[in-house]
Parts: sequence; C-alpha cells; structure tokens
Amino acid sequence: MTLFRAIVLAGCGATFTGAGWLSYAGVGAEDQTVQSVRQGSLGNGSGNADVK
Amino acid sequence: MTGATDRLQKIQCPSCGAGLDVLGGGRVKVQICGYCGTELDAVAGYKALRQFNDLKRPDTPFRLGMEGEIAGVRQQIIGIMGQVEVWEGQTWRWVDHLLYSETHGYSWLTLEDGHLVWSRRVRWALPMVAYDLHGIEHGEHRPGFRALGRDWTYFESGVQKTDFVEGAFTWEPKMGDGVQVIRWLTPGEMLSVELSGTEQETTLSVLLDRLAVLKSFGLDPAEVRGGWGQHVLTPITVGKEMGYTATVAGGFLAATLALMLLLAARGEEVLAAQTFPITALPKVIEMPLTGQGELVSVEFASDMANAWTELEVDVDGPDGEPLFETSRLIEYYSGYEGGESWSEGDRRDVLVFRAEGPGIYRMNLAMGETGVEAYGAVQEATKISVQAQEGVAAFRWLWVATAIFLIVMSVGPIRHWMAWHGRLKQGDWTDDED
Repeated sequence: MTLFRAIVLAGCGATFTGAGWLSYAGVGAEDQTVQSVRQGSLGNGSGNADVK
Repeated sequence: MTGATDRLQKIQCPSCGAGLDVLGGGRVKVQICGYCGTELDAVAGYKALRQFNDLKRPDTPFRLGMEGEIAGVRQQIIGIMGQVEVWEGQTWRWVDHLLYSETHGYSWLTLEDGHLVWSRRVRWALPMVAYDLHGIEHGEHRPGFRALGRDWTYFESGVQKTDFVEGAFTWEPKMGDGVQVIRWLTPGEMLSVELSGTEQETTLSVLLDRLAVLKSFGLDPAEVRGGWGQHVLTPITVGKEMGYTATVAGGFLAATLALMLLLAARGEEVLAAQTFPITALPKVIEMPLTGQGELVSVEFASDMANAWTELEVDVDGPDGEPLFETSRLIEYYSGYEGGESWSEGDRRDVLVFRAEGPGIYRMNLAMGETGVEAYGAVQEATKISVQAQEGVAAFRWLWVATAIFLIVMSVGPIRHWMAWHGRLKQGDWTDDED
C-alpha cells in the first residue's frame, strides 16, 4: 500500500469514526436557547447552555 | 544494427551512382535516393521514375537502416518523410519515419518537438462523423463519437504536405500535395483520419517512452533536442488513484448512511403525539426518560395561518427541581403576490435538550404572546401538538462526513477532467464551453 493510499484510508476512517462519535453523543445538537436554571448541572461538559 | 545489416542488399542509384541499401519487405514499391532525390521503381528493376529536386533534409537523428525496439517488436527504419502543416501563418514541422518489422509489417515513428509517437494503420469501421470535415467546421459543439470502446473527441484538422522523402515506401509519395487530416483524441491515443481524394486512411498513434526508444535505436538522448514539456498524448497521471480513492470514500459514504439509519432507529419515543386545544394551556406534560445524559427532542406543532404563537416551556427534572426554561416561537405566513404563491415560517418547532438521567421529567407549557399578520387568510393557533423522543443523534456531523466523502470521491475525476480538457485546448477547436 502506498503512502497516498494509507493517508486516504486513514483520513476516511478518522472522519467516519469522529463524525460517528460526535453524532452518537449528540454533540452540538442541544438548543442554544435553552437556559439552565440549575447551577452546576453541566457535569459532562455538554449540558444545557447558559447557566444562570 | 547487426543482424539485419548483414542481410542488407545494396543497389546503385542509376542517377547518381550512390550505393543504396534495399530496405523494407515485399510491399515496397519505390525507393528514393537520399543523395539525388531520384525515385526508383522497386518492382521493376529499380529504374528511375522521377526526381525530387531541392530536398532539404529535416532535423532528425534517425537514419535509414537503424533498428530499435518499439512495443517489444524489433523495427527498422526504411523511409523518412519531412512533413509540414501551415495554418494562419503558423508552421508545424515533424518527421515521419516509416518502420518495417518482418513480423508486424509497417508502422510510423514520428519525431515532433523531440517527442516520439508511434502510429499504426488501423481498419476500423468509424461513424460518418469521423470523416465529416464540413460538419466539424460548421458545428456549434466539439464533435465526438464512440468507437472501439473509446470516446473520441475532435482535436484538430489541417492539411499536411510532404517536403522531404528518402528511402523505401509502399506507395509513391507525392511532394507538396496536401492531405486533409482530421485528428481525434482519447486519453493516451490519437486517431488520424486522412482524406485524400476518394481514399480514407486511419492511423492510431500513441506516445512512446522517449529515452527507451532513443537508446534502443543506439542514439544518445542528450543529443536529441526537445522532448520536454507535455505532449498531447502524454498519459494523464492526474487522478490515477481515483479508482482507489472513490472506492474507499464510497465505502465510508455507504457506512455513514447506514450509521444514520442506525442512529435514527435508536431514538425512542418517550411522549406519544398528543394534541390538545390551546385553551388547555397552561398544562403539565410528563416525559418518562430512561437514558443517562441522552439528548431529548420535543416537537411542537400548531395550526395557525399568518399568525405567530409563543410557547413558554419550563422543564423540571426527576427531582422536581427546575432544569431549564425557554420559549418556542411558532409562526407561519403565506400569501399570493405578483402571480406567485409564497410561504414563510413553519407550523412546527423542535426543542432539543440533554437530560441528566432517568426519571420523570415534567414539561410546563404555557401560552406566551400571540399575533397575526394579514398577508391572507388569518387563523390564530387553536390547538397544539406535542411529542418527544430520547436518544436522538446530532446528524449534522454525519452530514459533514457525507460531504467530505463526496468531495474525496469527486476530486480525482474533477482533476482528470481538467487535465483532459487542458489537452483538448491544445487543438484548434474554439468554443466558449471549452
């Protein structure tokens, strides 16, 4: 396998894995207008936005 | 030049007395003396037929009798022709060398700007468009046709003349007579259709490995000028990995689409669609969630027309404490203006939030402000529909991946297309589309 082919394969694999994980985890899909009214509820760093 | 040289016979030019090697196979008709230009009849005792005067030898390192290997076949140079083509004040010159192989017959080795091209006569049944010079000259689009499994695209046409001849030929060369030629191109191959009176001849040309052929003929490549730059028949190497790239990217694209289906099926309904009159608000709706830190999607829909409705949404967690508060604006407008119907907005809206953990979540729905815009028939919201799903995915990432894979798949073909059209531009077709 040439370096070019290895790069294409690795790049596509990384893109698929990364996009799959981000989609599965729902990263960035939360509504930005949601206002959390509970302090410290962002345990995993991806909680509801705009903590009061 | 050993084996064949030993078998060479010699004759003496009856005009100038020069010793001439007898070259070529049994189909040779004439031999032209390279010293005095006398054409000799090879099938009638080498008697003088006519004389070509003032021949100017073209610039070629190849000489009669030289042998070399082309496409794995031993070939000998038996004739040399200087060719010239003039168009709109520009002049192109090249040298055709007639080759003879005892096993493969006759072919041509062309030296053009230092590039070496090998041409063979073919007897292909081509469509009429291949010979239709009038159609080419008056066509609006670049002509082309499909033959022998290849797509042939018009490249150029012109009238070529011979201004030097030497050696053995299987026909009687004519000096100065123009031969109309139409050239068609497919990647790596050129098809030249010669129209001479009622005769039509077709030759197929490919570019040769310059260094290998020169060395094979015993020539020093350093002493042969030209050959740099890109010839129109130079193989297009751009995008040569496009098959592999397209296969890999296509495979991952299919996997991405499959993953989308899997993730879409993963969503679980936690609140079946329920519709109630707007007068029922404020209202508390319970959502039993089971996942840990899952995304929850709540969809609201209403039935308004040219109106807007604001919904106040407060959600309490399983412990009864408020989790968040927000509002949803549902608005939909439509009308008829300037002979066309238009619409704007959506009668539905979606709220996505991340749940903290399993338990009963309570959604407090209340009416906010409402309003109408009299673009057409007006109807304020009379009912609200709500449904919810947990375990939803963020599909935007997979759409981004899909776009990336599509780009990766198309880069090779696009680059190949650009390189191919760059070659075609070297021809004489002028078209804004090209």
